[in-house]
Amino acid sequence: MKGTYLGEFEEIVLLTIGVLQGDAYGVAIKLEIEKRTERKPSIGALHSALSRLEDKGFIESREGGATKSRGGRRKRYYTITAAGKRTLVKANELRNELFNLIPNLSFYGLN
Amino acid sequence: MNKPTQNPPRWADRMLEWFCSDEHLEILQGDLHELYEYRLEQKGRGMARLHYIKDAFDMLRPFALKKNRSKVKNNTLAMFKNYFKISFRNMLRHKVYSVINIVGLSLGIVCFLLIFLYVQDELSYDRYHEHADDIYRVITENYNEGGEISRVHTYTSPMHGVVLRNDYAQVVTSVRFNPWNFPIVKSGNKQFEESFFNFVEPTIFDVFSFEFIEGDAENSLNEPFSVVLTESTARKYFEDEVAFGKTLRVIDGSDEADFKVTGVIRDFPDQSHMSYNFLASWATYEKIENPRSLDDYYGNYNYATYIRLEKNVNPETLAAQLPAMLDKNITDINGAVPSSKVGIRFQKLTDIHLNSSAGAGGTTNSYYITLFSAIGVLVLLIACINYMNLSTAKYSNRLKEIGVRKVLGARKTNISHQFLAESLLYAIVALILGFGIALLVLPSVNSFAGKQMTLNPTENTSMLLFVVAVILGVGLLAGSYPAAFMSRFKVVGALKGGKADVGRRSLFRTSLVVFQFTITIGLVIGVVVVERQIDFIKNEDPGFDRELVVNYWASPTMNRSMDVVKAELEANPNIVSAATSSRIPTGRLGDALNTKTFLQDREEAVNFRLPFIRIDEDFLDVYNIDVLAGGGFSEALPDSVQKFLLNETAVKRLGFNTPQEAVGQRIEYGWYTGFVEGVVEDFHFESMHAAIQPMILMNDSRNKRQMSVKILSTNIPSTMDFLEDQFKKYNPERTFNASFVDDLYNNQYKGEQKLSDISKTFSVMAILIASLGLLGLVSYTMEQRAKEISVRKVLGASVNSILVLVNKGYAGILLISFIIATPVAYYFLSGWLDSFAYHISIGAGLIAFSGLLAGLIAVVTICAQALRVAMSNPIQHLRNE
Repeated sequence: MKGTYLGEFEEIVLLTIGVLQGDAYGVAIKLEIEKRTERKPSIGALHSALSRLEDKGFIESREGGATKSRGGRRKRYYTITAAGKRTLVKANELRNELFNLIPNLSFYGLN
Repeated sequence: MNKPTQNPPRWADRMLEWFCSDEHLEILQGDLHELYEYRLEQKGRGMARLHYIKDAFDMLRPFALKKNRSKVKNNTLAMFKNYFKISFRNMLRHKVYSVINIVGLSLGIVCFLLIFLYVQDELSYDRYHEHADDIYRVITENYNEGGEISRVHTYTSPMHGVVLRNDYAQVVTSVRFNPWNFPIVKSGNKQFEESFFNFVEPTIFDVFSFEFIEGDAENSLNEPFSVVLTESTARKYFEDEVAFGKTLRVIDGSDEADFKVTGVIRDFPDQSHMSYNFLASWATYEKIENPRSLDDYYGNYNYATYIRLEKNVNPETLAAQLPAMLDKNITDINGAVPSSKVGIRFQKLTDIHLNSSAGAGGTTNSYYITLFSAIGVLVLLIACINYMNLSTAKYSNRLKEIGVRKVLGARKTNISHQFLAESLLYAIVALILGFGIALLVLPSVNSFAGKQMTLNPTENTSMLLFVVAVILGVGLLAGSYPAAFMSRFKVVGALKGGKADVGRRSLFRTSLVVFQFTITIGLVIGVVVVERQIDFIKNEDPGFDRELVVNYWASPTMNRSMDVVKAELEANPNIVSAATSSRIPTGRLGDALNTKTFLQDREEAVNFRLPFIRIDEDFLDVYNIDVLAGGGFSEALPDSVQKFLLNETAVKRLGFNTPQEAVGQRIEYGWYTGFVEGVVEDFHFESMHAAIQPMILMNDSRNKRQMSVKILSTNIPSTMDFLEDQFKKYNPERTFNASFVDDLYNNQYKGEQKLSDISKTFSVMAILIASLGLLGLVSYTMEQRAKEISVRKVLGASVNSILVLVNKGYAGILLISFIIATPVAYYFLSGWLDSFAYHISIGAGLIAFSGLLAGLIAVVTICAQALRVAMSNPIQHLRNE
C-alpha cells in the first residue's frame, strides 16, 4: 500500500462519508461536498479518491440499493473503518495543536 | 418511465463499457446515470448530455481501466508443461495419426536438411578468398554475322590480362594461367603423370588468397624454373621432408626441365572451382614459349585470366570500355570491325562454380540450386499442410477438452498457445528423427554428390541456427491453423460434443488439399518429363557408332610411325580397325580458320564459324559415319593439296542445294587449299545441348592426338591388355588411360543425370509425404463415415459403389489441382528442356499420362483406406450407439 498519508481532498471525502452516516455513495458524496464547500469535484476525481482511500484501508464498501434512475445498477456504499477514524482524529488533533501554537499576534488585524 | 430520448448518449456509454473494468463498470455507470437524471431535472437535456460525455471521459483514470484480469500470474510455465503433457498423451492415444504426422514431418525435414546442406555447399564456392567479391574471370565471346553470341570461351587471348592491368585504373591487378597438360613429374625415384602443371604470374597472390606453409608470396614465383606446390603434392613427392629448395624434374615428350620448389601452400579447399597442384613461374613460360604467341589480342584462347577490381567498381562500366580497346589492337578479322566479332566480359568469381561454362551451354548449376531450394521448401510445406489437415480433421476428438479448458478459465490465446505448443512438440520429435535419418544417409549422399558435407553443429553453426529457425517456423506454421481453428469454438458448442458450429469442410482446408495435390501433380509431371528427356538424349542416335570403341592418347612417338602402330593393332583378331584424329565425337569442337569458297571461280569469304577436325582415312569407318556424296579419304596429304569433307549442315550453310552439288568445289581453309572430296551425314559431335554445327574434316600430315580403336565384343579384357602393352611399347613412362566412347558419351549428360536423379528422389519423397497426408485424411474421414457406409451396405450398396462414392469426393479436388498444376509445370519444364538443343516436346499425351499417374496414386491411397471400411462387417460399426 502506498503509505497512509491523507491528502486534503481525501480528508474532505472521508469527512463527508462520516457526515452522510451510511448513506454515502458516489453521487450522494459528490452532492454533499458541493453543498458544503465551494468546490465541484468531478465524479471521476471523486471515485479516484474513493478508490485510493479504500486501498489505504480508511473506508470499506458494500454494494446494494439499485434504483430506476441508475438503470437498475447497484450503488457502492462507503463507511469509515476504524483506521479511517483514527486517522481523521489524528489529523484533526494535529491541526488544532498546530493552530494553537500560532502566536495571537499573527491574527491581529484579521479579526 | 424514461423516454429513449432522455437516455444519456449511447456511444459514451459504450466507450465506458469498452475501457472500464467489469469490477467498476456497474457502480460508475450507475453513478453517471443517476447524475444525468439529476442534471436533466436541474439544467435540461443538452447540459445533462454534455456533462455526461465529459464525465465519461473523465473516468479514464488508472483505477477504472481494464486490467489483465487473471489474478493468478506466473502459471504460464506450468500451463506449457501441461500442454506438452496432454500433447504427448494425445500422441500416444492416436498412434496412426501421430506416426503419419511425425513421419511426414521428419521426411520433410530430412529432405530440407539435405537440400540445405547441398545448396549451402554449392553457394560457398570460392568465397574463402579475401577479395572474393572483387575478383572476376575474364570471358571471351565470339559473335556471328547477326551479332549473336556464337562461342563463349572461359579462356582469353594472352594480351587481355596485360592490357587490363596496365591501362585501366579500376583494375588492381590481373593474373594469367597457362596449363601444360599431362607432363611427367619426377623426384628421385618417385614419378607421376600429372594432369595439370600451370604456369602462372606472380600476381596470383595479389588476386587470390592462399596460405603459405613454406616460402612466401613475394619471392616464390619471380625466378624462372621455380614452382609452388600444394601441401598434398609436396607430401606426395617429398613425404615428410621440407620441400622448399628441392628440385622436381618435369618431362613432356622431348622437353625436360628442372624446377626448384620455392613455396608450399595449403591445398585448395573443396569449394574451389579450380584446383591446381603445381604453380610454376610465368618467367619460365616466357623463356620456353615463342614470344610472338604472347602478343595476340584475338584467338589463341589458351589463357585463363582473372582480374581483381578496386572496391565497389562496377565491372559493367569497365567492360563497356573494352570494345574500343579491341578495335585499336586487333588488326583484322575478315575485314569486319573487330569488336563486332569478339567481345570481353567479366564473370564474378563466386558465380563461376554455379555457371562454369559462363553461358556456353548446358544447364547451369544455379538452375538446379533454385530447383532444389524450391523442392526443399515445397516438401516442408507439404509436410506442414499434412499436419494442419490431420489435426484439424480430428478436431472433434479434442472438443470436450477445449470446452473444459474454457470453462476453467482458459481464454482464446491459451487455447491457441496449447495447439502451437503441440505442433512444436511434433516438430521437435520430427526434427530429432529427421536429424537421425539425415545423419544415416549423409555418407551415401556425400559419395553420390561428390561432396564432404557435414551435419556436425560445431563445424556448421549456420546450419544449426537455420535448423532451429526452421523448427520454430514449421512448428508455428503447422500449428497456426489448428490453433486458430480450435480456439474459435464456443464453450457450449464444444461441450455439447456435437459437430459444433464449424463447417464440416472449410474452404481453407479444401484449398490446402488442392495446394498439396497441385504440387504433387506438378512434381509427377516433372519427374516424368525429366526421365523421358534423359532417356531421349541417351538413346537418340547421335549419327555415329559409340559401342565398343576405345579411345586413348596417341603420343607423338606413336604418330611418328602410325602406319606401323595401326598394322600392329589390326594384326590382333579382336581389333576391327583403328583411327587417329585431332578430336573425337563427345568432345567439343575447336578453332575455326578463315574460309573462302570459289563457286564458278568467284571468291567468297565464308562468314560463319566452320570448325575443323583432323581425321585419318579410317576415322569414318571406326565411327561408322555415313558418306552421303563423294568419297572418304585415302591418305594423308600435304597442306597445299587438301581434300575436305563437309557435314550436311556445312553444305546447307554454304548454300548448296544437295550434297552432290558441293562435291568437287574448291575451298581455301586457312593455309589449306583444296577441294570438297565428300559430304558426311550430320552426327552429334558435341552433346545434345548444342545444335549440330557446320564442320569441316581433313586429313593433313600433322599429329592427331586421339586414338580410336574399334574392337570386338569377345575377350575384351585381353584386348585391353593388348592395347596397353602396345601403348607402353611406345610410351614406357606413360600411364595407359583408355575410355570407352559410350562412357564418354554418357558422361556428357552425367551432370543432368546426377542432378535429375537428385531432384527425382526429392520429388518422390514429396509425393510420398503428400500421399501419406492423404492417407491420414481419408482414414479419418472413413472413421467418421463408418456408420454411414455401414448403413449403405446394410441397405444393399456394393463395395464398388462405396469406393466410387468416396473417390468422388476427391475427384473435384484432383481435377482443380490438375488444371492448376499443368500450366505451371509446363512453364518450368519447357525452360529446362530449352537448355537442350534436342529435346522432347511436352505433348498432351505426356501430360495426360502424368495426370493419370498422379490420379492413380491418389485413388490407390484413397481406396487403400476406403476398402478397409467398405469390406468390414457393418455390424462392427453399427452395434455401438
